[in-house]
Amino acid sequence: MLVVPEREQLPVADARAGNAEAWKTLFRRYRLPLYVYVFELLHDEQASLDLVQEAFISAFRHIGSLRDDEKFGGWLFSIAHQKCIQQWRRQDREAELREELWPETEAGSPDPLDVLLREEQEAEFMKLLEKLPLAQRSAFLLHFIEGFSLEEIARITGTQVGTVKSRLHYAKQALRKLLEEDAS
Amino acid sequence: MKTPREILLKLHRSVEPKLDQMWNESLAPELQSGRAHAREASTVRPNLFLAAGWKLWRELVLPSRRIWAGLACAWVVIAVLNLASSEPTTEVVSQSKPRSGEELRALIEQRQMLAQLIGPLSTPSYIQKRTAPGPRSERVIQTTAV
Repeated sequence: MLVVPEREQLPVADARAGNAEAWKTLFRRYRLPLYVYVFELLHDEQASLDLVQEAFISAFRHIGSLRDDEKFGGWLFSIAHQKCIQQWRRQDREAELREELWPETEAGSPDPLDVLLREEQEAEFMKLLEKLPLAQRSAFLLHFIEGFSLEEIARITGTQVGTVKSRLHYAKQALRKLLEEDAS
Repeated sequence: MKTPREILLKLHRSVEPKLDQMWNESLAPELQSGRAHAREASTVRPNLFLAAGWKLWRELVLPSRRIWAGLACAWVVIAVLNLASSEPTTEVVSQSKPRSGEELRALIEQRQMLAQLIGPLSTPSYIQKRTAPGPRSERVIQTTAV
């Protein structure tokens, strides 16, 4: 069963009004998931910490542009995603590789994946995550960490819903393969 | 048994103290300074026109106050002179009112006397009527004769 956080009531309106306590609550809610997302894309602790900080500072400054308070999470992750892209561009590392690894593929199964991993599978899972191309990893992380919908992931990553579908499909296929191999 | 989310969060939970430190050292002060800026902006906005007026006064008028005072005096003098010079024109206007019958009669008599003394005025040459030019053939003959 896919365990994702429920759509909880967050004090976004208070944060919009500049309430420091409300911002602290939002920070405590999203600091770790956001860090995990960024770290699993950048693989650099300091850069990830800096990027989380920049994302929150951007959120402080531009909360006025957020139209729907319920979409705060997706909005925050989209800021972080854009900053990841900027980071990649700055570093200009693996640029060609990323271009090769982000193919536009056909839409895959949109069924949610019911995944429960045993303790001995955790290391394998992390290895698998490492192996996934960045685009698939990004979609996979957004789906599993925050339970964002395909539309939300598409909005965060600035891609088409069909593309997100296919990326998730391939990521899930790889994970399923891992689980099957382990079972056999 | 754990979900991928639980695995990922557990794996990175050790970074939480660093994230909290980030809040205390960078984000909370940033948020406070941002709020201070916002508060400042909101208090300044209603007095925008007053502030602009004061700034104009301070930067445009005060530094060259003697020049402005001189200009003001000059304008006052010009205005006074203008008012003073406008009085005779009203007299002229009043003088140019339609004359009485006696005045008109005296004027006509004066003109008649002048005409008797000097005689009728001959019309100047430039007012004389121009004759239409003759046929082209006649002109040619005249020129050949000369």
